[in-house]
Amino acid sequence: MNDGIRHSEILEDILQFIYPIIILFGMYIVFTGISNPGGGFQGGAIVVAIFMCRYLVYPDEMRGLDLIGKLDKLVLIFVLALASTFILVGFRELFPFMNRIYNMVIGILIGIKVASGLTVVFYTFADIEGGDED
Amino acid sequence: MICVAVICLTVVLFNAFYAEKMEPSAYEYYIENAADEAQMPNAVTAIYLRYRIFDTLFEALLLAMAVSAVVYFAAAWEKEVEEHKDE
Repeated sequence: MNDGIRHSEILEDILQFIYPIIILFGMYIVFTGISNPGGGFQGGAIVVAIFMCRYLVYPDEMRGLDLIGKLDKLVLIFVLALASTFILVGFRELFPFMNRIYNMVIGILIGIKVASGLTVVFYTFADIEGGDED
Repeated sequence: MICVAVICLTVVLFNAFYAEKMEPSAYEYYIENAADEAQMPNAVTAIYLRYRIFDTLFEALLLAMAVSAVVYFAAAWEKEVEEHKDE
């Protein structure tokens, strides 16, 4: 029905040009969240834009969505474990040199968590809405 | 509606009259100590990764719960639609 719109070559070419810019911008926001405005949550939300663009070009169901959902839960466990051991148990007093590594790692983990979680939410909703046309 | 308006008005009036009397202790502490204590040049990051770590953790947990709920209800909804198709 919407074949002409969905497989538009103009859209595909433009999005191929935009992909790397979105990835670079999202990674920049995640990695420099320690010293600049930004951080894991915001950067992760920007990275999800890649998957939304991918849905515009290839509206078929994405493979490996279960895997992304599992990654979401796995990273959540890592975030909980890392934060609770480092901050709440008090490893930051024992190992002060780990502070910078902790800052970097937990920012990246939160970024991965938000990106994977929002991807699953977006594709699930898109799947429901797309299923109406059948 | 009236209740919400009264609550908002109360908060605004409370802030207007009592904000000066409250001690401005928290933000001064953060501004002075965030960089050394957390070794982060950005005070906002220091707050949400150190001083308010519970907030961040439960926010991540909330997001995971939202994802699980969306997946679960989507699966239930699709199942229901298929059952109605058979009828």
